[in-house]
Amino acid sequence: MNWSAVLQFIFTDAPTQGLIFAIVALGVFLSFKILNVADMSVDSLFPFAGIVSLSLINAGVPAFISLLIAVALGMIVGYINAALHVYLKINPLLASIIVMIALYTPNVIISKGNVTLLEGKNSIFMEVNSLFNNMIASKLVLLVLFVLVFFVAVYWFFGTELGLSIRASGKNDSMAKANGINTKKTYILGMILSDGLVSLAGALYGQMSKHFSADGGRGTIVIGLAIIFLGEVIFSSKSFKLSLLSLAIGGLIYWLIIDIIIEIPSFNTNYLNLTKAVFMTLVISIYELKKKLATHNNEENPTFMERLKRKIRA
Amino acid sequence: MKKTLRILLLGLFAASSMSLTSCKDDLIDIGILQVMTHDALNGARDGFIEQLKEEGFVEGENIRISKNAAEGDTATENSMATKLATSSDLVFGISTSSALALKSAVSDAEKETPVLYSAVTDPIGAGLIKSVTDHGNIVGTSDAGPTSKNIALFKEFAGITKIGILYNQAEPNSQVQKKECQKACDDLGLTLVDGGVTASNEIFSSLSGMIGEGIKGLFVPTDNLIASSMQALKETLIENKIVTVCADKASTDKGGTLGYSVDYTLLGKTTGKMAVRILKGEKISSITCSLSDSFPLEINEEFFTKTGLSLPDSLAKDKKI
Repeated sequence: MNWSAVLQFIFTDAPTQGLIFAIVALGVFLSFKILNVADMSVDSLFPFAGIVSLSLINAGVPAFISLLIAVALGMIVGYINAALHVYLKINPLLASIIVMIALYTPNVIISKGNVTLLEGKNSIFMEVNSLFNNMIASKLVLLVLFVLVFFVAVYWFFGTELGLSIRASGKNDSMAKANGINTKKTYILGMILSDGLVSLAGALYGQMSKHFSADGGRGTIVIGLAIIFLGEVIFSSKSFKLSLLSLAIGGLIYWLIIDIIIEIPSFNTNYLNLTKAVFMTLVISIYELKKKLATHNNEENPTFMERLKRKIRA
Repeated sequence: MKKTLRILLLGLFAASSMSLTSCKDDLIDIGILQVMTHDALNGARDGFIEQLKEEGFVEGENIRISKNAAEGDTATENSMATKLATSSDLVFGISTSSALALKSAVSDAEKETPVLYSAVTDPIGAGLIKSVTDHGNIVGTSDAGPTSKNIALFKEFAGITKIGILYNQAEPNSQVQKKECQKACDDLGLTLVDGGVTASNEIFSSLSGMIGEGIKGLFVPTDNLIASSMQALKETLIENKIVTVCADKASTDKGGTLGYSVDYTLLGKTTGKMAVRILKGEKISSITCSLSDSFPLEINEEFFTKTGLSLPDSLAKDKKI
């Protein structure tokens, strides 16, 4: 085994994939943790944004503009997703499944199965590359920048009155209503933001991998959820700020683990999905266990772990 | 708690890093990436490895092969492509998306690693190469089947006027073949029922729907999704006496009736020959991308014995011995 190649692979692949999926996780966090719905449309929206962005670039639109258009379309999808629930009273999970199925059609029609960045057309990463002349560095710089900007923006927004009212209506709908919050409005706004972020990640992913197939989003929501849980296990975050930070770190660690799994020589890749499933079960059960421990945890009645910790400290 | 977990995680990383055996040698690294595991793609992979072996490149002796299957997961496929691009001296992508992922990963790693491909129906249309002679560091074999020849098979059976096509809408390979199929049907005066699906759980209902519309024949293009579920359709096809023409051998054997088919093992061997030429130092630009050229007629006898239909005499002479 060539160690420098292994390290080069892990340190280029894990951060790039991890940072993009951290943005996916941020989107899923808004719907799953703040609005309390599992948004299945992510699986179709992720490739949708990538396909739209790549097709636009192929048609001559500058890479950055194509990114904006993809995000705008994603936000419209988010609005439809929320409207199905708010106005047609469809169960939110079902509404997102309907959107997921519906989006498959534009994905197939626009991509004709598979869309590739044409020769001579530049992705946003290639444009930045003209500054650095190093593809890996340009990818990392750009992605870190995107993650920073959007994580800080989300943190700021959910501290404003409007953001707080979204959080409140997700936590307790009736209580929020009693306090004069229009929960329909907050739900729609939350979904628009969530799907906008997922589209941003999808468009970036398409531009980074330079190709996207119509069914290339299968399992995106699962990765997003895995990152959220992974982040919580590692940080046991109580504050909003830490929760967000844990997503970014969780994304990196998730891909680090995937990369290590696929880097093991003689690993039969037929076992990949089972390995991932076992890993997910482990993470979520640790998370649940921790929650249980945390509720029992107080000063008068220290848990086993707490006692152990004190012993170690002493 | 926090600390113990962190230590556990660190330990996990350390342990898994240890398990990577450390040895640097001068074996040639060959990386194979396929989008999923099924008979047709495995055939191409095994044919490739067999051809290398025949020409003196034996696994473990002078080459090391890393086999990867992404099981349909795009993000994993891209990670595997990045891995192979950084560590291999030659990479081989089986299927359109795997070949594209490898192409992109190799160019992003700023390398000139030769990329071989197989089981790609339309490499030019998919943006993999510019033309069969102008192809940069990419070369390989296409699995475009003889669609019109296959559709003409239906005319040999009496009473078939309406046929269906079963394919995955998200596969560019299948989209190309669906268009060819439509054209062939128009030329021959057959009615085509579109049975496009988006996931494997829709295949069965799509087939039932088409049978409900009265199809007597079914065309199965070289499609990864359908190929992986062919076995499950066998009973229904026999029960309803649907003459099924498949464009790949594995599908015909598993549940089809007959078909001029792409032999993926042969395709893999042809690609293997290209790999050998590259490994022996030949310039990649002097190799021409090839299309498959020989299509044996595969016949599944089981279908005829079970349904009581008989093989038209005109075809019996074409039968592969």
